[in-house]
Amino acid sequence: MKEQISDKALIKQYIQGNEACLEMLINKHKNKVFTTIYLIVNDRYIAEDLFQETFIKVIKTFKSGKYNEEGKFLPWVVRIARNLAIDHFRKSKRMPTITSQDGEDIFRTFEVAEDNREQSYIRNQKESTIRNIINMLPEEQKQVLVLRHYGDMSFKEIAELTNVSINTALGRMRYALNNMRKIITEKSISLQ
Amino acid sequence: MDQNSTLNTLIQLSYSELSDSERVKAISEIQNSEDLQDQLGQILEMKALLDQEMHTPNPTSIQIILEESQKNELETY
Repeated sequence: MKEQISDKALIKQYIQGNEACLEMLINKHKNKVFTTIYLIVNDRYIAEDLFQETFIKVIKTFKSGKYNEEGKFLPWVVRIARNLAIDHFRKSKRMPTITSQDGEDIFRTFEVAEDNREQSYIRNQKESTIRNIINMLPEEQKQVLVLRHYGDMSFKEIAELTNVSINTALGRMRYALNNMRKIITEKSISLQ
Repeated sequence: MDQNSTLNTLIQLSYSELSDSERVKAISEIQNSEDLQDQLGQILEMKALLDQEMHTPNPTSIQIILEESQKNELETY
């Protein structure tokens, strides 16, 4: 069985000059980090840019010797990504909105080759439906849901990041899950 | 335990955020309550749906990051 190298070991080896460890680290976490960013900004192109910026910031922190290895790697990366997303919206002076034309089709062509077109279409439709449901949630609920489920941040970490109590963070998650269920029921959405 | 607090515990359980003693207590309560089993089932169902929403960055993005790292390497040493 293939044994997974810990983040701590990969980071240590990367800092010592083993570039391959950075690629392993990115590949290990890329989907969660990218999905978190994508769900925050709702635009695939912006998400790609912020994904790159996030990891470039990670590299600079590693190389400057400022990385605090006591914390977990993924939640730390997600915090950087979230801050960059907030900066992005501040600069563009707009808040995230639901977009339907975000270049997704162009990027999807990379994935079509992996399975047949029909399977790919069904999967894309399902993903898009779930993303739309997430985007229908109030912003505070969506934020907790995305940071907890995709960003691997604990409720305590989310509470600290968003300046609320842990009970408030948990309450927002509770409402988010309940509201998702309500939306699915009310709109008779089939996710089978 | 009130309803909200119970749901919070179930959510924390589903995300492995309870201490060992809290987890043992919660599991024992769930085993003795069909209502709690249903509620946990609903949480897990929503989590399974969320798991279906996962996106992969374009390989070019990763290439850019790796090239940036190597560039940084040259500048550092």
